[in-house]
Amino acid sequence: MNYRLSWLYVVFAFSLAILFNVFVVSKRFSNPFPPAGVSPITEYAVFDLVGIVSGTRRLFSDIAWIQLLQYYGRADKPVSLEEEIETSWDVVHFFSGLRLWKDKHEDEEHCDEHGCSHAGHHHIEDNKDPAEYKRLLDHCRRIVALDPFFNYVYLYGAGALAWNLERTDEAIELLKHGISELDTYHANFGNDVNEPYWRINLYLSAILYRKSGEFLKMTGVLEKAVRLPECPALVKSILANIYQKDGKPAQSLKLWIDIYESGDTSYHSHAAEKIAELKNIMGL
Amino acid sequence: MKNILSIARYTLIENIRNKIFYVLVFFGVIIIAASLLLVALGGEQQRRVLLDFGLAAIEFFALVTVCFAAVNLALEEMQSKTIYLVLTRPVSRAHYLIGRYAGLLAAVYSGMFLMALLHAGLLVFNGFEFTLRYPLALLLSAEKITIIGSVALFFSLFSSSAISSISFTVFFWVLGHFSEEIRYLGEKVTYVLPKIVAKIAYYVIPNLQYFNLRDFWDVPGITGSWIPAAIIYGILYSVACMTLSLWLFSNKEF
Repeated sequence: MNYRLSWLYVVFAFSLAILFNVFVVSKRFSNPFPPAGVSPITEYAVFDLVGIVSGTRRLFSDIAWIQLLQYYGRADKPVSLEEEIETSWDVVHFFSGLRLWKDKHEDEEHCDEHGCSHAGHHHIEDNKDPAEYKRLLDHCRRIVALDPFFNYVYLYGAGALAWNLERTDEAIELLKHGISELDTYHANFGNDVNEPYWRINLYLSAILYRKSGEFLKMTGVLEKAVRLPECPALVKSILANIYQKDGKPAQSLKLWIDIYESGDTSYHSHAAEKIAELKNIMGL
Repeated sequence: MKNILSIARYTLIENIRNKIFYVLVFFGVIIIAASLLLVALGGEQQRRVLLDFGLAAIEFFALVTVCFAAVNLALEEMQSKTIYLVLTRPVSRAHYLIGRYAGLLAAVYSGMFLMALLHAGLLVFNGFEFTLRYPLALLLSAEKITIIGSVALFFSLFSSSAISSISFTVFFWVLGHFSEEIRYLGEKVTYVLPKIVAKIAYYVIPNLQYFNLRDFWDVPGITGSWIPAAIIYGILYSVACMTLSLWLFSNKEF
């Protein structure tokens, strides 16, 4: 029963597999991911490389995402009351000239006493230094270096940088990076990238309006953004706060209910508080 | 054919009764269930984290199982000399090896199926909307396991040492996922010899990125036009490795 197999069979079998690879499969397949580069955060470089060589880029980008949330505070960190006022402060100032924090900041001399600074008409509290979370952009870039199609990171990162940390330039840089990734992908593969492309551009225009002080236009763009899928609760909460400060509690309430019902538990308690507060204001 | 089926059935039962197989599948199930804890940290991307973690865990535990089982498939019987009992009967070496490999794959696939059932259940519980992409991603993971199983079997017959066989197999796994970088390296390097080496390596090493659909989940406009060809390629490559193993096995002196 035991005959010796000729080595010619082996050569034939391997030739067939390799030729099929050369002339058929490799012609149809193109790896959509760019070649592995060095991680923007050097201490994670080896860790990220493990993800690439083990073929688990998405899993490792998820781990990097969780690490970003841990870095940026708790995953369930809602926008604090002070942050809420600050994020909507510009709009209030723009529309009605109201001055917030009147009790503390009657004038600039008084501000100097407790270490506040003014940049243009932006008021920056000392306990919310824009230099805080200075590696947030690097964390975002690290995630999208692993998975450039993790579009939510562009939206979340840009939202946090522009509205929470007031670093619009970094937010713009992140969004432009996302656009260039999609451009490269489209140029190489010709696939339709309209949906993520349009979404990122929408956020970019909102941030550019914010940067140039055109808050009415910014609000209009944010209204479009929150209607789209994958809109981060962070961005929704920013618009809800703008509505509230702008004297539109019904629209604000609608957004908070939307955040509450989104299934994401991280904003549950904060959204519940806001819903109760707004219902109270509206006498419901 | 009857011989192959008998040996495959025997191998399947042997593997399913094996404590290591139990432990690995059980551990896989525990890890997938534990991913719910990790998911809680994922903020608004919970479904994505659950999907990716589960699919990667299924593949990883299947890889570990197939590596250890394939390496010991013939090696153990050769070392304990029990292989004589089988080969002195009217069973050819080819039938023996094919049957063993088929039985091993059946055992690993059943483990993957169990883990996938649990994972799918968790995804349904989390409101995940299933598409054809999910079973396709699992099918392509199984294809990777098929290739790696045949590679591990070849190395076990070639090196006669379990540790070196496992090391070579894991090395192949890494190279298989790194093939696109090897090609990129080949394109960028200016010297002719490294260019040729990179090109040969790219085509000879099994390109496991073809089967990595779970990583391309959110790539816009991806159609999967290469998948049927990749499935055929996976079968051809496994058959080639099995032919090489058969050649080695048929020339082996016991």
